[in-house]
Amino acid sequence: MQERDLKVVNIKGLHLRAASELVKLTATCICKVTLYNGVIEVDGKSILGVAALGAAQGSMVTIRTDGEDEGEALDKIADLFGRGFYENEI
Amino acid sequence: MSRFHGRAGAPGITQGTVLVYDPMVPTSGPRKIPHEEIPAELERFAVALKTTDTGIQEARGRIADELGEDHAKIFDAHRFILNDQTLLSRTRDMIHEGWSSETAYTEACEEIYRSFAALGGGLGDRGGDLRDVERRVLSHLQGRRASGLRHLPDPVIIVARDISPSDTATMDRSKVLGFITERGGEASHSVILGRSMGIPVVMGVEGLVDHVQNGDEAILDGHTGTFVLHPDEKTLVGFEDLVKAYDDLERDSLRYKDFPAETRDGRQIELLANIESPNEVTATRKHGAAGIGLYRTEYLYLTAEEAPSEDEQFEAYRMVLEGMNPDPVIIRTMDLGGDKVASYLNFPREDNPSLGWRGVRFALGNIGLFKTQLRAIYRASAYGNLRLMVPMISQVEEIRRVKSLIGEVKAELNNTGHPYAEDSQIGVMVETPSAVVIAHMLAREIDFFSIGTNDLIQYSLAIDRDNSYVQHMYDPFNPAILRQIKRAVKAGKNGGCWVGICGELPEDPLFVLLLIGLGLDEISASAYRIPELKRVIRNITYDQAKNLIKSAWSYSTADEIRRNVRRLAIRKFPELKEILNRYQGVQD
Repeated sequence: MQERDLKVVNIKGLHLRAASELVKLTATCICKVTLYNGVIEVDGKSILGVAALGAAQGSMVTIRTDGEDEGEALDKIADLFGRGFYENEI
Repeated sequence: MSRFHGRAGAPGITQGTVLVYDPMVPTSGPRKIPHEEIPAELERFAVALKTTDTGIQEARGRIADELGEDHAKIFDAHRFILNDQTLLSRTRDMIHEGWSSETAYTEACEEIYRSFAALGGGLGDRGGDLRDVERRVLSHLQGRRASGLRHLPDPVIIVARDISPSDTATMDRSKVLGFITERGGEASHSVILGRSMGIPVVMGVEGLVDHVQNGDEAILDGHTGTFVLHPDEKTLVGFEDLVKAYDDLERDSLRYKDFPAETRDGRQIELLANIESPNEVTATRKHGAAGIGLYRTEYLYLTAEEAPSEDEQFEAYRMVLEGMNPDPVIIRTMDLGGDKVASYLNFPREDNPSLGWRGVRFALGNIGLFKTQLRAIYRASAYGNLRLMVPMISQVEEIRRVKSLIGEVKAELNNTGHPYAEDSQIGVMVETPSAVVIAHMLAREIDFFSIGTNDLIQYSLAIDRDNSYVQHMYDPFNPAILRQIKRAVKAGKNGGCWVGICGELPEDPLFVLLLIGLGLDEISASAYRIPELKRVIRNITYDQAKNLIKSAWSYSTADEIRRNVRRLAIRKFPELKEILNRYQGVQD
């Protein structure tokens, strides 16, 4: 199991379209992905779960990956957070 | 034995067993299902998900084409929502507990809304997208439940409160002997369908559904509007005589089918047939139609689980054009909306669908879908004599916009090297009062008018044709309607257009006499009526018909017109006495 704290940098936060980008990525991962915001823990492969985190810009989210490709998965997720879920590219 | 009386919708007489078609109205409250139905319910839910998924993917493709990849991305999110395991496993759990799919899915969504609501504002509207997906799924669940006419084991007489186009779109037509409905008026869908299929239809029998059961024996007489439940021996014998009498009359008219539709003084009327599918081409030939005057293409959409592709449509249009060549085929572009909705098209809920997003309005709001159809039509035009017709035009801008799209489509076909007919005619349906008023302006834009009687009557007289409180006012002989038609014909001809009429022509042949007197060039009707119409046309002269309509202008009610003009017509055309009299007693 690996864990990393990531910051939501994009303006709109983890809104539905961002959540959609995240789920698109986690769907390709073999490992289990969970997101935790200090209050609730949600399934990182469920778009409605991710959206229900209500993570706004500037908030911190703990990502936990557990399984075969956990390291690679975590790197990709961190990259996606860093890019702001392509929000500016849209 | 018991007798019920309704209004005659489509002629014909039949005997057989009854099927009560009473699709459940979607329940607003929770609904439980019996334990043994749980596996079937899970399957029903799975199918609805799959259909919804296809629908979303199509919407994505359409939006990507029309507005770009950017706008299409939201549909990816919708697909993730649709396939969200949290939502689905919660729903399946509830179905396992014995709840219906609708109840389970609604409740599972509700729980998610609650978790969103707990977050407070600031992060945009998450619920809206879920709401959208939820609506799609529920509509597919209901749509599926309503398509109970798809598999009919034996031929049946269908008893229903009402029949919608979506019900009949997937119906197994080979197994339907006739319809009888509680609601529905002269131009309702079951009537139109019955006439085109040549099967009897009776409507307006209040409370009937509660009196009959599946498997009951019955006789349905679409000429007089009678329904006999559990007929006794004597009635059954009488039934056979009646069938023979009707057959004789029909055979008499059939003798006229191969003659041209020409008045005694040589005025040719183009007498064409209405169709809904390419399979009907042979039948129209058999009845002596000189072409297709109304090909209702929306049935391609209504009978499918998803929007038909360009190639599928091309094949259908080609079959009709090639099959009728060199005779003309008037293809009407998608007349969707109103009561003709396909679940995958995601129509909004409208308070007034007849005044809403339908016909050309819907087409111009779905450019991708519309251009696909236009491309298919123009590709098929290389195989026959195409005339393109646009429904529900109410202003000049609409036909201009359609023409510019046709220009784009032709340019695309040039690029891809597809042949098409350069000089196909373009026309509009005149079915809104505004189209009549601006007919002279519309005429400058196009080659022909086709007057759509059903809607023109509905809109001009402000009558909902399915509303049993006002449908008795729905009357083609209304002096206002005759004047609307006169005005449209005159404006069309002055502007160089030929003018026809299509849709469900009133059964009464007197109306046809008036149409000819008004100067109509073309009449399109259900194929089975063509022999009789030829018989009528071949027994009159144009001058006499003009005199008839002249006499009609002096009367101020539909009844006066019907009564007095019929008397005059019978005096002038003694050969038609029998046909003209047949319709005297029917109206009550």
